[in-house]
Amino acid sequence: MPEIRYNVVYRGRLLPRFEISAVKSKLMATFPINEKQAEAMLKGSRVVLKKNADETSAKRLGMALKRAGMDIVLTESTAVPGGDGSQDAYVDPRKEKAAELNPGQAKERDDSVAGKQGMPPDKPESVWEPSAIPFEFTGSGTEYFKIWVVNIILSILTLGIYSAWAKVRRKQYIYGNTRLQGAAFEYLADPVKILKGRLIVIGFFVLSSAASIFIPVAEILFTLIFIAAIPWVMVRTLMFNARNSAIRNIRFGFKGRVKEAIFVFMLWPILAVFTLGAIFPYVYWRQKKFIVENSTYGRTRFVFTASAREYYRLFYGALIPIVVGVLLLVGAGFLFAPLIFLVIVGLYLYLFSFYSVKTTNLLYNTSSLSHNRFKSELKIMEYLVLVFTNSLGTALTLGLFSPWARIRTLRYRLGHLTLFADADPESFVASEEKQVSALGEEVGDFFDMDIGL
Amino acid sequence: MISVRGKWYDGRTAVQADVVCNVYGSGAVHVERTDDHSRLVTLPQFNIKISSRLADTPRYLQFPGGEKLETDDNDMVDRLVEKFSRTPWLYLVHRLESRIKYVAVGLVLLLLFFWVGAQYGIPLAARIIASRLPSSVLDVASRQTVSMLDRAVLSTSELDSATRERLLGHFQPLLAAHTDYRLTILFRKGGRLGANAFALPDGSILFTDEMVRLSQHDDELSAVLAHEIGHVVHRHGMRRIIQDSILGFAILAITGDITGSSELFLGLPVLLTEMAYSRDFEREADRYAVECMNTHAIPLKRFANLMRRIEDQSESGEQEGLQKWANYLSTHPITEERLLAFEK
Repeated sequence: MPEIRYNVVYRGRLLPRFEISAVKSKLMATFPINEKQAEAMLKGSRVVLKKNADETSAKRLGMALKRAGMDIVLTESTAVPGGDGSQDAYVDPRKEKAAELNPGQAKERDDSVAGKQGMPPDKPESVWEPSAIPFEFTGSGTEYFKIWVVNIILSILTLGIYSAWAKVRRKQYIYGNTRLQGAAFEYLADPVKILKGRLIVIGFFVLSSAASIFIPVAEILFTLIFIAAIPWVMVRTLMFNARNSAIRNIRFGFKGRVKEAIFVFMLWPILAVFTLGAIFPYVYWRQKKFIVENSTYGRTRFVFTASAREYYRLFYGALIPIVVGVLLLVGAGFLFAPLIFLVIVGLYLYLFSFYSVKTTNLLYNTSSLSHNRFKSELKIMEYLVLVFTNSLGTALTLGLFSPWARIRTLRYRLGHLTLFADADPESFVASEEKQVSALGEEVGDFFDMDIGL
Repeated sequence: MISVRGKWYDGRTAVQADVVCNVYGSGAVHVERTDDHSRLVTLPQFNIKISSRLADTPRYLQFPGGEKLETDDNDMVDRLVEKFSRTPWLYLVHRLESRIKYVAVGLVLLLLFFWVGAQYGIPLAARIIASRLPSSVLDVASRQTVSMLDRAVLSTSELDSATRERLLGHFQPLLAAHTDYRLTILFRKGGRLGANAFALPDGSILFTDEMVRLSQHDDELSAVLAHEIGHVVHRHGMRRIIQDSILGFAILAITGDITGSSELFLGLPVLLTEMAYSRDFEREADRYAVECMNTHAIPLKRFANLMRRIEDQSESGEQEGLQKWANYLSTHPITEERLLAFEK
């Protein structure tokens, strides 16, 4: 595999909280350039400052420029080593041309900055630090509550037909309020497709129950058909959800194969049952691996680096709170019987939070997209308090609190999720793909098999 | 001219650009970058799809070439919609969602719907479904319930066979009147259940020894039998299961999948509703018992007498702690109102 080479790109703007004059003097102090050259560097928009550099020098140079206050990204260079990189597909071609329109200037920049590799002199050992981009969630419980009430009322009044639109609006609200670097997520599913999917599912069940009245074997037959369809349903669900999610006008995708899904979602779990759950962490790992590695953003695939060992550690780690909980339970039984109830509630909440927090953190922290990593930092006790108050509120209000509960959870989860962008967020390219019908998703939804990622 | 500022995405790459989209009165559209004013798109006429409004989430202007403009300037976009495209029907939904008074009306309707549904809808549906299902559906479940109880709390009856024979003989007229229901009388030592009697969907009616000993007249037990037969005749066991399922499904449907909230406490509203259903069943069984006792010339007072005795017994603290809750009264809540019906 050839070594990856990088372009160092100035995105035409300063990092937040930097003043142009300060950046200019910092540049002049760090690099052997005069004021005019520094001004020229900072003027205008996106420009490639250094082409086709090896990883170490690209990162060093990028870091030095970043420290001065310039918004720098590294893009993978597709040019052959030593070439001039003019075939760089990822860089906005119009801008690149703009830089080349003025060859003298561009050349000068290249020379002046790149002429002295091994910068900066003050901290030669410094390494590239990717920029931390937090996920922002701006949803409000009250707003979501209003949408929720209208959704339910209209669904009832239209005898369920509106429920397809309700689902789309609910998701659109959540997606639209989730932002990354100012760009919002977009949910693009067509309610009509969802409605058709639902009708087909209902039709299947009407047919199967009608048939089983006349032919007793039909029920078994339909059940078998249904079970056989599960992996297909899973894959279609993942595909539909991914295809209809986008950010920056580029859609996500899912390329998993049904054949593999049969192994991951049926055969392996059956095997896990036979081993009394001993290999469950492995099966769980296989499922996550299947989902993450087959997910794409544009043409770029997600990468999953977790090992099965990490999942074994996670699930066997749950044995500690279980043992402690059982001991507490016994202790409570001796002391004062009604305490048992409290211990059970506490243990249940703890294990629920333990599972949610640990699996979420591990999943995100071991997934990456190109050179962008994620960092999820949920805390078990914080999550426990959240789950407890959400559940209590929902129970006491007979379910009316559930919209707030949902928003609170999302705010917490997304508030603790960060993207560490090493590659240029602008370097992703869309892929051309056919549309996916909603049938798979609706079958999945109907039986609550929707898989959370 | 209407100007919408926002972020521009060409649909092929993730490159973001700040742009302004100017729409002229004629419908001509110009999109240009805000930094160097270079023109990105020119449309001679308005040919843009606009996403519908949803709270304050960003809107998208979709251009024929697949490009999108993402903007937070909802008011400007609304002006564009007003001027250049048909107002979509979803705009009506947005109006409903954004006006607090509509939402309040919706909420009242919703609560009303739930209340009517829980009060009348679910019981009615359960009654209809239960009458359509063959009663044999629950035979297995009933047998399992008995064997489970046998293992957990009940033990073999300590009543002598003479007493059992006598009681079965005494129950004969009542049983003979219900041959359609395959009624079987079972006796068990109640243990923690104390003085108790209950009916299972398959027609088994179980009396505990404690209940038999507490009675002072065999007609008192006949009265209890009449009440339990009421449960069997009205298929309360089956209806309870159907009602609970519908209720659970409804709760799940409205609260949706709340990730980050466990179902642990969602049982509470279900439990409260189930208790209300349980009281309705008792009333229905009582009415049946009154009818039955009248036809078989059993004085109504017999039932009330036995109930009062159970009540006194549990209040005097003869049974302690948890046992006190687990007697006949907890599953058959006796209200003054109910007893008065038998004491007339």
